[in-house]
Formats: sequence, C-alpha cells, structure tokens
Amino acid sequence: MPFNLFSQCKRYKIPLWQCPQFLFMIMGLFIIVASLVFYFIGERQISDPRIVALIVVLVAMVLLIIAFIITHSFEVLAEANRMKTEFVNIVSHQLRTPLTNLRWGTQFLLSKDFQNSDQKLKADYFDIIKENSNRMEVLIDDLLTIMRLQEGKMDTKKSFFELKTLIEEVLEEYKSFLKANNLKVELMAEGELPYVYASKTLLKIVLQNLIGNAINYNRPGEKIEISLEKNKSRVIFSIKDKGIGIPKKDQRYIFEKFFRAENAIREEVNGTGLGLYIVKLILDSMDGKIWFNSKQGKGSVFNFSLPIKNN
Amino acid sequence: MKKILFIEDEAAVQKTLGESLRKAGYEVQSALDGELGLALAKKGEADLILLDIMLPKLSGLEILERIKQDEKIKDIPVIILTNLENIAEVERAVELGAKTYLVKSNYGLEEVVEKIKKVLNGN
Repeated sequence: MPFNLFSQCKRYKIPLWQCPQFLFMIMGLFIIVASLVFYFIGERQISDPRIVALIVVLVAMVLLIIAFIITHSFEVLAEANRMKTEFVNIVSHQLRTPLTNLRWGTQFLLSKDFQNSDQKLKADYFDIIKENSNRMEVLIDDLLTIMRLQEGKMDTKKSFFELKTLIEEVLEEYKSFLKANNLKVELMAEGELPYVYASKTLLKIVLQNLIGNAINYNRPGEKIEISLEKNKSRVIFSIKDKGIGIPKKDQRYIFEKFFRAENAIREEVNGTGLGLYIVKLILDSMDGKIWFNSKQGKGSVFNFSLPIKNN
Repeated sequence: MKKILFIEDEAAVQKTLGESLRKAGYEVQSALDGELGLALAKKGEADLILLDIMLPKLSGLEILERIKQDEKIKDIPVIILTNLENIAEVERAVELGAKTYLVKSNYGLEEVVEKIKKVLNGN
C-alpha cells in the first residue's frame, strides 16, 4: 500500500509534500499518534482540564494546517491539469495553422484561378507550401523532443567531450545557410579548455537552438560571435548576435512554452516558440545555467555554463 | 464592389484566402495585427470583417468587443476565423455579437469563400 502511494505521487510529478495521498496518510498517522498520546498522558494529567483544552487546541491547529496544505495540493494538481489542457489546445492550434496553409495553398494550385494567375503569384503559393511543410516539420521535431525529454526517453548517456568540437559540428550543419545569407560566425576559444561531462545528444540540441536563433534573428551581413571561457568550476558558452533583440517587457517570458516575442512575430521570423523552452529544460537537467542580455534593435547575448568535471 | 476587412496575422492565410476573395470579386483590405485591424475597422468602410482570435497586440475578442461598443460600426457583420481548439472561447465571440465562426482547418478554401459570400448577400 505505501509503495502504491509513493508511485502514485511520483506519477503526478509533484513533490511529496504536495501530494494529497501522502498528506492524507500523514494526517491519519498524526490523528492516531495524537489520540494515543492523549490517552496515555490523560491518565495522569486529567486533573487539570486546562491542559486538556490546550492539547485539543494544539491538535486541532495541526490538523487545520494539514487540511489547508491538502486543499492547496488539490489546487496544484488542478492547475497542472489545466495547464495540460491549455498545452494541448495551443499545440493543436499551432499544428492546424500550417496544415490549413498547406491545404488552402494546394487547393488554390488546383483551382482554375491558378491558371489565370501571373508568375509572381504562382511562385508565392509554392513558397507558402514549402515554408509551411518546413514549419510543420520543425514543430513536430520540437514537440517530440519535449515529450522525449519529459518522459526520459532521450539518449542521455554522459561522456567526456570537447564543447568546441561539438560547436564546430553544429556550425557545419549551418554552413550552406550561412554562405547563402552572407553571415559570418566567429568562434573564439582560447587556451586549454576542459572537457565537459554531459550528454552529447542533449547538448547538441541546446547548441542547435542557440546558434539557430542567433542566425535566424541576426541582421543580414552582421557577424555572430561565439566564445568559450572557463572560470574555476564552470565552462561558459556565449553567443552574441546583432539581431532584432528581445523587447524588455517580453524578456521575462522568453523561456516559456510557445512564447514568442512581439517583434519576432511582427518581423515574421519563423519559429515555434519552443526552442528556448527546450534549451532551458535540458540545461536544468544537467546542472547548467542559462542567462541572457538583450536590447531591442541591438541584439542579444545568450550564455550558458556547465560544471567542469575532471577526467 | 463590396469591401472586406481581413484581420489575420498569418501572412499565408492572408494570401490564400485574401486572393481567393479578390478573385471572387471583393475588395480585400489586410491587417496583420490587432491594433491596425481595429483602426481600420473604426473607419467604417468595410461591408464585412473577417477576424482571427490569436492576434499580436490586440486579441480578436477585444477587437470584437470594441467594434460592438462603437455605434458607428457595430452593425458591420463580423465572422470569426480561427484555428482554436477551445470552442468555449470561440462561442464567446458569438455571444459578443459575431455573426458566426469558422474553424479554418475544418473547411476547404472554396467552402470558406462560399460561407463569406452567404453572409455578405444576407445583408
């Protein structure tokens, strides 16, 4: 029975002290213990009714507090449930939008209106289809990453490796894009840098997102600077772009699921609103820290640090 | 020529549906965010307003509320065009005075154009 209880609480993904089942058990135990204590000391102290009253008041107070925590724990569970529904709502909206675009775009291509359209309009429609199938793919990838992370189904085997090599690997993936858009990335990693001990798969996702963001939001022709440094106990990665930046009022929401800064939407930079959420989820799981500085119109610097482990 | 004000932040939807409405013989004015949409609505030139719900700057429901409070434009029919799963929110739009709502992914392009035509001819 207690085993069941713990596994049930674990399933809720909330701390034990917020789990109603656990709290009910505590309350039950407390009532039993209090009654027993009452019974035994009652034998000797019953002569003074004030002491009895005092004990009853104390017991009632503790019960009240536990009851209050239980009510609160139900609220936490209800809130988690509400957030789940909300998440499903947003996901379905985000998935339907590119689907609608694909459907309506192809319907136009099949209609007789299409025959009578000029080349420019025709090209626009092919762009819509290309862009939205792309968007769908990125969105599904991001959602699957989140699901796998949350269910612990990701390859999280740790190993020692050089962060610099992994960065170069990720940059290689963007090579043709960088060339086509005349963007330059400078990687500054001086001196001997220690190896990190982490999951390469996960860290690669972090780098892909941060480097991808810097590239996507940068102004054309501007340079992106990546640097690697270390202090006593941590390796610090920073990436600096001269892009559109994040408006001050949006900065506190930037790691939230599906949040996209107002200027990113306005300037029609493609994005799912999931990238930085994933980055934070991963870094949190490996004792990493992430922070940033950003100014609207000037650009952003994103940094993260990881603990150094000696081989 | 009847004029449609189309408030929708998705450039692709603006293109696909907007173009089809133009081909069907309507004049279509586009607004890509809520603030611009409301400003254009207040001019009172449109015969119909197509309104998305999830919009930057000002949500579709807020726009709808303000349209209905404005004596000058409160009788312009509004059709809600959305992809929201949450029907409660969409139905609230109808309570607020929207003529009807269309869930984008449920309809083909031609069906949506037909439905818009119907509302326009009903006036």
